[in-house]
Amino acid sequence: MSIESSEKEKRKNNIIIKVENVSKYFPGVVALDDVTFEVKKGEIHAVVGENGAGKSTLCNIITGIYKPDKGRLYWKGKEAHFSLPKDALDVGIRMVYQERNLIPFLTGAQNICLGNEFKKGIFTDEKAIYKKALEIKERLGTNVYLNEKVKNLSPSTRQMIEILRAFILEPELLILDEPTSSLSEGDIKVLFQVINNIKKEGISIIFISHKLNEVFAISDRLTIFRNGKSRHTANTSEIDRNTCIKYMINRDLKKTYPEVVSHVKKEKILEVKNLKALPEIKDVSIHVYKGEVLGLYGLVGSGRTELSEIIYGLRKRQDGEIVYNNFAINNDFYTEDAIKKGLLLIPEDRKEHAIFNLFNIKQNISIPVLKSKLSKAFGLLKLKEERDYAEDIVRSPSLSLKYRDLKQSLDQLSGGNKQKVIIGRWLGIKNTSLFIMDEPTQGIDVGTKYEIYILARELAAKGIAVIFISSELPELLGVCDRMYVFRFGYVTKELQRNEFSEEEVLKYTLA
Amino acid sequence: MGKNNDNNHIKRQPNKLNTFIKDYILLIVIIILIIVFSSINPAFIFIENIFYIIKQASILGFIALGLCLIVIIGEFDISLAAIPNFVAVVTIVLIKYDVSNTYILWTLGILTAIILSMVNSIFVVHIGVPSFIVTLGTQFSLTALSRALTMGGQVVHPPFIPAGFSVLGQGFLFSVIPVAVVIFLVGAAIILGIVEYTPFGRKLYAVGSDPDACNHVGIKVKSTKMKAFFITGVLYGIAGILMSSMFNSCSAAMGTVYLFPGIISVFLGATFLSTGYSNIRGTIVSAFFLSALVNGFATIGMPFFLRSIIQGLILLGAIGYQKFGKGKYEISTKV
Repeated sequence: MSIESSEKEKRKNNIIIKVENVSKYFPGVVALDDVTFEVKKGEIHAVVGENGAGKSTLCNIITGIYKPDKGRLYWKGKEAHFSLPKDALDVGIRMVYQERNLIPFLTGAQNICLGNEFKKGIFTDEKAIYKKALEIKERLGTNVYLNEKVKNLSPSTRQMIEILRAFILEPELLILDEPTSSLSEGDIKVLFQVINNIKKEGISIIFISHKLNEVFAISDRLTIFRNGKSRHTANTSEIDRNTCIKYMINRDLKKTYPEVVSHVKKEKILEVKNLKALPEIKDVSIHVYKGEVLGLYGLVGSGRTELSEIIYGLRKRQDGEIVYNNFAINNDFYTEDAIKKGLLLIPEDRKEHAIFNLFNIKQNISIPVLKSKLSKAFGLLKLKEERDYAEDIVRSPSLSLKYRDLKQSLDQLSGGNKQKVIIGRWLGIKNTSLFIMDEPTQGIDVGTKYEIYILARELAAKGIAVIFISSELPELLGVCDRMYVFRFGYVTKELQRNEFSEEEVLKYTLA
Repeated sequence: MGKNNDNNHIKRQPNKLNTFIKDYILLIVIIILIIVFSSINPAFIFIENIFYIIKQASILGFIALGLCLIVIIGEFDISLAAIPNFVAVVTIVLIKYDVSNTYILWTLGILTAIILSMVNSIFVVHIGVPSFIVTLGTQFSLTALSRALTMGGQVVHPPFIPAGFSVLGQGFLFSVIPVAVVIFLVGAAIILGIVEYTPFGRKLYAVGSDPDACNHVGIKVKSTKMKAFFITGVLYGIAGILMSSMFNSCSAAMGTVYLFPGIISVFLGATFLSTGYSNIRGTIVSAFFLSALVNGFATIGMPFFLRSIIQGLILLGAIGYQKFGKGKYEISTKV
């Protein structure tokens, strides 16, 4: 009896934070539904789930931003009430956010000590600040420039500084929200090294991610969320990828990718010859056939995005030829002309380049066709037709958007649904012949990714050429008929579907 | 659709009464003010005074509509009072030098405003100078130029005003409705139609909200902004002509009374119907509101400095209220 209770006591001490039967409601939505979740001392606990599964609400409750409507929170075995974010900070909970919050014109060291500056009299003590930052840096075994202004640093270094910042006051629980979303493979390795160093100090980590392979590489345990409920918690070593996906999307996903049936026609829709646009593009020649899904793969900065922007009329070039549908695209070619000729693009940066924040779902969808399809006499808008037009698109089976109201603002939608609206914007254009998708699945849950793959294949089946640009090699291998590998502004390899292999591609990607 | 919605970022929705108050707070305040002012001084609701208020609102309205377009496209225009003022000076000075053809006066007045607004737009859109700075420059230069034309800032009062010219500001339709009011209502309806119900109007909002996204859907940011400045020029021109024809005279400082109310109208307009961004409907309602307010202060004999303080507080309150209520309201001016 006593052994059992001391065992229980020990277990209790081992738990740093426990969320018990917590629910959180928003009008019309149950964000968290009776969730029980605990993190052990010194473990890396991954939280996975689609967008809107409840991950961020959980973190907001742990960090004291939201108060739970039901349930209790225990910090080291004692009930805790975090009424303000400061209360959570005071006990040692730190969150490293997805979006960067650094001040660009301060140095790394100054950013790390921001808000906790050392002072000499009334002035800041720059030496002490640097010393403290250096101490943290060496403790975590990272290699970042502390004396350089943050605006001159790479995204990965900034991410690292963001993490170092959490250590200015000793943390006991560190929450990392999608820390790898803007990092390259190499940077991710470094980051994981640092995360492991943090773990060795006995600090607990909650690791939030979309990317299952990262979760498997780094975490000790994982908890899967779906629709506001915690569905499953397991030791990472005892669960496999497919089981994980099954819990995440609640349907047996036999395949991650759709079946590829070639609809490639003989006719070329686009031909690019010896394109030059320094510094990004040195010499690029590619062609695309009708009905083909063509993959472009390469590291960030290899020239893929720049190429698509030149074709779409957003960027000028120095030299080279582009022929689209028997029409020579020159430097006077403007996006408006591209759209008229059925050449469409979904940009990589959804937030900056695609979404109109002032507009609702309906208006975001109708924007390119207002003049051509939805105007009547005196140039007035046909408002009723506009609604019908948008409704037809969002309800079409290939899109099946999840929304409450067409007048809803986009910031209330999950990442995947936002992307669907952006794609839907182009689906009403009838003469489409070339559809460029630049990182269309970035920051999107597994379920929606699959729908986008299917959509790309459907477009190809209709005879539309699709250029699919991605940094995720597996999806290109899964979806494309053919692909080009880019490196430093050159096309280094062209591969047919039957030649696809990860090793082959990587050989030509890296120098 | 609502039930299988799985996103958790839906904002709190207030109850119906709250929404009603929030949406119509401007109209509610207007009614309260009318009651307060007229109980202090019954002259406030005399029919002559009411028409006077509406006449004042028509000049302010054109100015505020002009600024509203500029704010919608994400810029700002501090020369909103100086350009109409300059137009008023130009027309009166022309009359003084015996230009008596009303149509020529109208054309030259509006043309002047268009040219000045296009000068603003060239600096802002093509050269890329922040609009606040450009228009501040225009404002100062024009005020100085107006002063030069009026011989050091005196009131210029030509002996003879062509009858056709003063009809705009002083005439009555069916001998009761001021012509200026009719012109404003027609003008406001046209602008409302253009901005809220045409693809071009949608583009204006798009350009102001997300210029980068505009490039991606084929909207030309620069030319759209130029067109907005052009329309604003026309509106300023009409305001200037109304000014000179209403008073049969001009001075270099006559526009300054519209400077602050014009800015307030545009930002106060964002509270109307809780849109959270400056829009035409709200601006029109706010222009009437401010005219009533300014007139009301005068009828109850409030000291001049107090009126300015109250106007300042309204501007801060309107922006603060939006910021507080919505949590995401941004004024899209680049200062």
